[in-house]
Amino acid sequence: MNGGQPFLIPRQLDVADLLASTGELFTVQESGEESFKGIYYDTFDWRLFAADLRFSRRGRLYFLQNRLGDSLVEAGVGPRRKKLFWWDFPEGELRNLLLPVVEQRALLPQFTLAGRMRRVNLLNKDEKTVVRLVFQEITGQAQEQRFILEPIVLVEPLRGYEKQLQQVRRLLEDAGLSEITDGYDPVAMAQTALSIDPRDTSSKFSVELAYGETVAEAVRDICLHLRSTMLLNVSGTLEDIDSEFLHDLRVSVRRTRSLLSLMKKQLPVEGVKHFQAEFKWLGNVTGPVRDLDVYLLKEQEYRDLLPEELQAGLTLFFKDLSRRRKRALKKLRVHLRSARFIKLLQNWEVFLRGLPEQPDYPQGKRRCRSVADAIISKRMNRILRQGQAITAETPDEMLHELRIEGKKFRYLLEFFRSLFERDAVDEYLKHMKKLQNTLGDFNDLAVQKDMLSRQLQNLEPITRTRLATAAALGGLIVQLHTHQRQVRGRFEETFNAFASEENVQLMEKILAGIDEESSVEN
Amino acid sequence: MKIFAIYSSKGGVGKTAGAVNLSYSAAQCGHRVLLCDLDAQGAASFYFRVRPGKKFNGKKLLQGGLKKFIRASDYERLDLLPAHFSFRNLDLVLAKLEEERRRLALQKLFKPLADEYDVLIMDCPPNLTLLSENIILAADSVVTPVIPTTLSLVALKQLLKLFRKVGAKEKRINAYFSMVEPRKVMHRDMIAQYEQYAIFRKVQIPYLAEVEKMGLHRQPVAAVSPASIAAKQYTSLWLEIWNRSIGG
Repeated sequence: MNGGQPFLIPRQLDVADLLASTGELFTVQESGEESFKGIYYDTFDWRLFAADLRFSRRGRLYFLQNRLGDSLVEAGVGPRRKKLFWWDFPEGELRNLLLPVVEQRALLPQFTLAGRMRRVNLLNKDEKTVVRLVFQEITGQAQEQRFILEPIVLVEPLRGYEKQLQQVRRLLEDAGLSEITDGYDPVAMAQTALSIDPRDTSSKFSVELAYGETVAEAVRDICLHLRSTMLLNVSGTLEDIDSEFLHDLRVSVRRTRSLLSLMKKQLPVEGVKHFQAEFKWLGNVTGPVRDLDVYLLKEQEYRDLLPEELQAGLTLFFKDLSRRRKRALKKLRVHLRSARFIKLLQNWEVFLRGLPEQPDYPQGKRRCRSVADAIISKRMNRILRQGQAITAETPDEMLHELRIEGKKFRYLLEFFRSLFERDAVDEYLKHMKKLQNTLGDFNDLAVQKDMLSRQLQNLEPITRTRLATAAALGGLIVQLHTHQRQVRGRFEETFNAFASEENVQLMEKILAGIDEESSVEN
Repeated sequence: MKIFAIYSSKGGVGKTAGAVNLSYSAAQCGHRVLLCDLDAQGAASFYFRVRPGKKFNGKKLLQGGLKKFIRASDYERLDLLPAHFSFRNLDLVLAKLEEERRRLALQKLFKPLADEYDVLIMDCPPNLTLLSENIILAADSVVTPVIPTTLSLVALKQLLKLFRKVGAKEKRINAYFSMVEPRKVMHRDMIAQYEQYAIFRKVQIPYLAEVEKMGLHRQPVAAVSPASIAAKQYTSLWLEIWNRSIGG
């Protein structure tokens, strides 16, 4: 796993024969064997892998490497746990590199790779080493599953002996070995051996709709995808691995509800009503834990907002939040294990699969693309109208409403992205994100302020420690309020950028165009 | 990159043994090392089993672009610029250069290597010529082995004279007693008389069979027997010279 050029060794090839054939050109000198064993960590959704990072533990040390095995930072120490967060590592470069990629996700042991390395020197007639070979055999284990990676040999060049290197390369190629030209990545090989596709656990929404799909088919495809995201995140939520499982579960519920409301005129009213109510219930019962997670994740941020003398007051506050979260999680677990939840997902699947064939449902037969066109332009006009009506004097509630409209609109574009020119949609979403971030910040700050104020009112009886907490909460409320006003001050500028002529034209272009990829097929 | 010249105008004082073993010690200490074998006899190259490329010669060396002549040794972080028979004419080649360029030719030559190596060690031929001047000008430190005998001390005095001639600072000289045989009265007396001088390092290299046998093994002593006295002395000597060169 260093500077050498990797070659795959065919399974039927005997390494002893290979070395015997090199014996005609070089003296073969064994230079020792070593073994290694590493546990490879990544998040549930393989964030490190996607960022071309490989993270493993050997003994006490953690290694962060790129996909070719080059170390990116000196090996560091960390706890030996089944589950690690960036904050479990001491301050330093390793932690700084992990943080922006894994964020609040837990690093989980994905598999163990154990290998044997046999080093062989090839010597010229002066008995000088001219090329080094490193034979690697790696076996892996993930839970109960064992697997063997294809054996490889690394050909390590020595400076000034390029001719000999070429001779060795020819020899290997003649023997049937093939060079791995894009580098040797044992983690990717292990994924292949275990039939893991890192995209399967990604929480990013992406559904492929066919250009000619009907409304019913599109609703079915989108909702089945969201349903599988819900299912994917249930066990991680129950085991409480990290806060993202519940978050992703809730987002897919929210998207589902959003679609049902956006498309309500296109759906069979009676059939959907029940599911709308049930998903609303699911949104409600998963809410309390998420609300608490939001604050718990902000602990450091809150501390940093306060002067040192007020920070101690937050300790009790966060202790109390943790206690409440424990109780809320217990309740949530009951709901997620309930027959009501299991039935909901079962019935939902049956309903969706039967949707295109439902009798007395003519709206479902309409071509989805034309329906999507209409809904998108209607929604866009509504957002532009609402946003333009907002002035410095407009009550905060209007901004909250605009935020919700915006979120629905973003979901809408994401649902039907594959029916349009994707790059143009992505470009539009990028502009939208700036507006949504401002509105989102504004809302988050308002919600946080309210929650802290409620906490403050409920601090009874007043003791010394509660007094300290009250002071800290008061300080935070002031800070959040100032920040919120600043965000509000930026609104007009952000909205005008979003509502620009250019953006409106971009949307018109999106709606006027046909999706190139799909139209070729159809 | 720090440049060290292992130099003495006298032959047979342990220069090549010093260059080979100090290079190895430096690489073992974690430095990226290039050993330049400037001696046409190529003893250092022989010890590392490196032959020069066919197209390589002294003239090409001075024309620059020496990177492509460098060979990896068998040891991590240690590379070698092998000697060539034509190096015996290096003086003549240098003499043809203009006065200005001539004296700094080596220094200029080594500049492009500064990113690749931390330490450059020159194994120098035993003479007192234009090449010697170049070596002194190019080196951050001139390391000179001194056998505790009268003749060897004469060579040291010549070196000091040469330093004055080219206007180099004597502080850059690191002399050490080499091939020391404590049972010899003359060695003991000489050391007693001269060791207090500032140019001498504390570590001495005794006369040892292991060092003599290097020609047989064609490896640095520490690569053959890492625990030997010779290996330990060379490492101590390297550390003493290195720490002094970085002002420690």
